[in-house]
Amino acid sequence: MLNEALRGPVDAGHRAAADAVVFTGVSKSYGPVRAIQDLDLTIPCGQTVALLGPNGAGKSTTINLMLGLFTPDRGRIELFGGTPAAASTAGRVGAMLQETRLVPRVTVGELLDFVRGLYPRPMPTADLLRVANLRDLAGRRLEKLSGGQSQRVKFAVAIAGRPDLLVLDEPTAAMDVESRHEFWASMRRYSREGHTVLFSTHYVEEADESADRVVVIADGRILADGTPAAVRRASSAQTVAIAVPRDGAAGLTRLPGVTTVEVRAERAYLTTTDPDAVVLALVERGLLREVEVRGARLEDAYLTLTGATAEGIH
Amino acid sequence: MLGYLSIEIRRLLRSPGYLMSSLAMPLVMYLVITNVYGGSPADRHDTAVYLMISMAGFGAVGAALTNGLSVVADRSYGWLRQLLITPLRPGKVVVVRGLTGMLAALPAILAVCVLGGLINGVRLPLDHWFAVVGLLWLGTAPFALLGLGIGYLVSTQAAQPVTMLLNLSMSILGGLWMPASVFPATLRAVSQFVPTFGYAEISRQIAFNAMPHGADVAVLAAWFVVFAGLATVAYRRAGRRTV
Repeated sequence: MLNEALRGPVDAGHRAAADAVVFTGVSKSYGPVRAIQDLDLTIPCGQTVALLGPNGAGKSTTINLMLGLFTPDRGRIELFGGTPAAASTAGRVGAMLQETRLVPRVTVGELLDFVRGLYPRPMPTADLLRVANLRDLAGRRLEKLSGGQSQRVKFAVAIAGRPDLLVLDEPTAAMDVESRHEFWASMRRYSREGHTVLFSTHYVEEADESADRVVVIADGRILADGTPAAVRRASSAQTVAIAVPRDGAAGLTRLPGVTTVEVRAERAYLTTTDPDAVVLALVERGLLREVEVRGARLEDAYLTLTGATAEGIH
Repeated sequence: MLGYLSIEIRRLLRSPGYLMSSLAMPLVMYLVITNVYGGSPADRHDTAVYLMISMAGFGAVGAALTNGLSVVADRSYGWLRQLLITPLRPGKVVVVRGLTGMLAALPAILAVCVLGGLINGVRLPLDHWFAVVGLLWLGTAPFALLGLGIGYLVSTQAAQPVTMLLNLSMSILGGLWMPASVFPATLRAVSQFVPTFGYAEISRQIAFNAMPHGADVAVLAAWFVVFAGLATVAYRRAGRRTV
């Protein structure tokens, strides 16, 4: 399967003495809903992994299982060769969880000092405030922060203990474009120090730019797993771009072989696994103007893999 | 653990509304009820002492229980899950939260006792004052833990009514509002096993120059063990749910 084929470059079957994360045959259901099915995933120490998938794919369930907040119905989960709870107790895990708010009536500085105090080898306060870009906010009460500032504080909480494994569940969900850039810069700085990072996202660009490895997940299964370049290749999806026809782009979705159609700046981008057929169809209909055929972008690969529509990604 | 206690104490001190609201009811009730009773000056003094302990206890139990509602908020904020992935152990979280609940109970005890001494003319030997205030305070431990148990276990919507209901029923059945001696025989028998009964009786015995009854101490200690277990189990459960 695709999944197996992609394994090669990243984890060539060898298991180091203590991988950061090992999932073996893990399943989890909520009543009749199967969130995760028979998941196998190994993350060696030092990797930065993006867990990419649409909403409801099982990303948050995977993360909650990894952190020991949920217990699996079947299968085994190990962090650094022990249970997730043991890894937490040893101070080896830090996380930014989804749908959490910061507790009121505490200042940023107080919160970070408290969290630092819990870990055996915390990050020095000055470094922490710099890395998380919080130097001007140390005295501010948590309830008075903007959405972007809160996310920065949550990131600081996650890295305050200088954990070996940093887990980020959709960390940029509440951020504007500029904050997002700054955030990924901070994250990459942290991962460059040799820490293992796993983040979930449904933004394809984030996975492409910030991860060494992309794990595409949908309906609780891994669809593809490899470097961003490998995942891109895995899908044979390509893009056929043409000038938007005079009568609009509406009819293009019905052409044979077209998965999605996106219109940008007077051009229509048709994603397909069979560019020959699409070009032929365009010729037959007299629509072939200013044609350009390109190899897949990660986004196209992702769309083909998850079968999502362009509207599905934000 | 000290770091966690310090951050929780700061949060407590920064919620003056909650601390004030725990004082209003017991102070007003103390002033009103004491002046309903007549009798000789000695009788009036006994009434003032008796009711001082009842109302200080009522205020303290209310505040210690209500503290559990703040963990309901922590739960919905995801703060509990965040704590669970740090090296902080569940047992310590419960101990610190319990201590915070006990601290929240202190203003009510002090305020009612000050009012008793200054306005209602309560005169006790200094060592009795210390014993009464100290025991009223230590005795809030089971109620703080019960409050936590509810806060960790019960749904967000139900936590407040459940806490209110327990607070009122325990205060009334335990003889904090009216002496259990006026209850019918069956109710009086039940009353002795309500945690608030022994809690207030221990301090009353001391205020009236007697030794606390072993049975009262034993019942309160048993409730402490039960509620400590409840709070710990409830905490472990709560962290593993989303809301």
